[in-house]
Amino acid sequence: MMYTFRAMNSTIHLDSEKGQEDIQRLFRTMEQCASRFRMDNELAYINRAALYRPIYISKLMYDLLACAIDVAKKTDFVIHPFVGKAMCALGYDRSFSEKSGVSKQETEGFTQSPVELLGERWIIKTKPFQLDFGGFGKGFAADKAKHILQQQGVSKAMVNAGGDVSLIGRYTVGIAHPLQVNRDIAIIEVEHMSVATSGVGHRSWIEGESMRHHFVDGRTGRMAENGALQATVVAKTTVEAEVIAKLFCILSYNEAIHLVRAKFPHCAFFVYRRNEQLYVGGDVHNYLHHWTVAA
Amino acid sequence: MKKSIKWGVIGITVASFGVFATVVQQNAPQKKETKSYRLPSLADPLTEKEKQDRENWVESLDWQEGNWDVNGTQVFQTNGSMSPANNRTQVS
Repeated sequence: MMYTFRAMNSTIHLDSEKGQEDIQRLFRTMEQCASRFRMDNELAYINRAALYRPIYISKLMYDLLACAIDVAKKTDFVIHPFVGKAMCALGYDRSFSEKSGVSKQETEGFTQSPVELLGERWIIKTKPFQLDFGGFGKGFAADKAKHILQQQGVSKAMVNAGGDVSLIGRYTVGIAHPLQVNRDIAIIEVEHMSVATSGVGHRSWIEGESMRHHFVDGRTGRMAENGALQATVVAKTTVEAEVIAKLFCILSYNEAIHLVRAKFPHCAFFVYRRNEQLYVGGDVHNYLHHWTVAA
Repeated sequence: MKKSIKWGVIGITVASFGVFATVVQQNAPQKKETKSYRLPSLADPLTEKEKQDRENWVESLDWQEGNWDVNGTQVFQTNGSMSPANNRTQVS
């Protein structure tokens, strides 16, 4: 029986009898703590905080921030959570369901962290920034949820956070077609893995004569344009899968392959490009039990 | 005579006081220099040791290149699609 609830601007599906309340509480806490679209939460408090003054934050936010900074360093700041200002500048300044399109100036990115983690939940801002965890927050929550279920002795479960899937046991998962509604482009069978998908199709909008989407190169703060419509990645954690999928949507294909192979070799990927070509690669033998691509 | 004794006593008294003052000063606790410490910043450039540690860390990763498909990435020209599975991953 699938347990379903709304949180973090997504529908969360949980395939487990155990831990339903705990998982729902976790996602609600994450939403209250780290949603960019609330003005009364901890993320907004950090965004407004003064520079060079120690700030005391919750353990959940500290862990999330520490994880995001690790990812930022590993991806050479292609992906980091300090691009909220750039997202607003691109017009993505409300939750996608409320968006109507507001065009503003583009901003600069970061190549170094504008926040220092002092330890024991203390941080200090060294440059002004607007936090935006995006899908990263959902991936982080999905991994936490998996951990909670494993601690409760669950041997088979699935947490699907709006398309970011974390699995205990073996499951068959369809990869949604980037252009056709209610159709899949591939079916994969995976065990104890996480699957995440990023793409420009769903969260894109028209401004003037140009199409805009929410992928920002963290180094420049500018919208990325690389020819990939959608990337799906299978990895050991949802955060990792989410990050690798985003890399394929931000960097050129060759750059992404180079970085992923060097820094995130534990994965398999499906990248759908604008020319209707599906690129399948990575460690497909160890990360996929079985996979079929639509003919 | 009396005058020289008087000056002698004064001299001894002054000298004694001088000795006493020197001893007191030497035994007084030394004033410590104030040092300020700054926590290392993520914005600081990496030291050579840190660079080396990072390189070692990258090398120490369980390098899986051998498990990537030996033929490289497979490319499918696809304009087809399938019925949706019960569990799906999608852009969220």
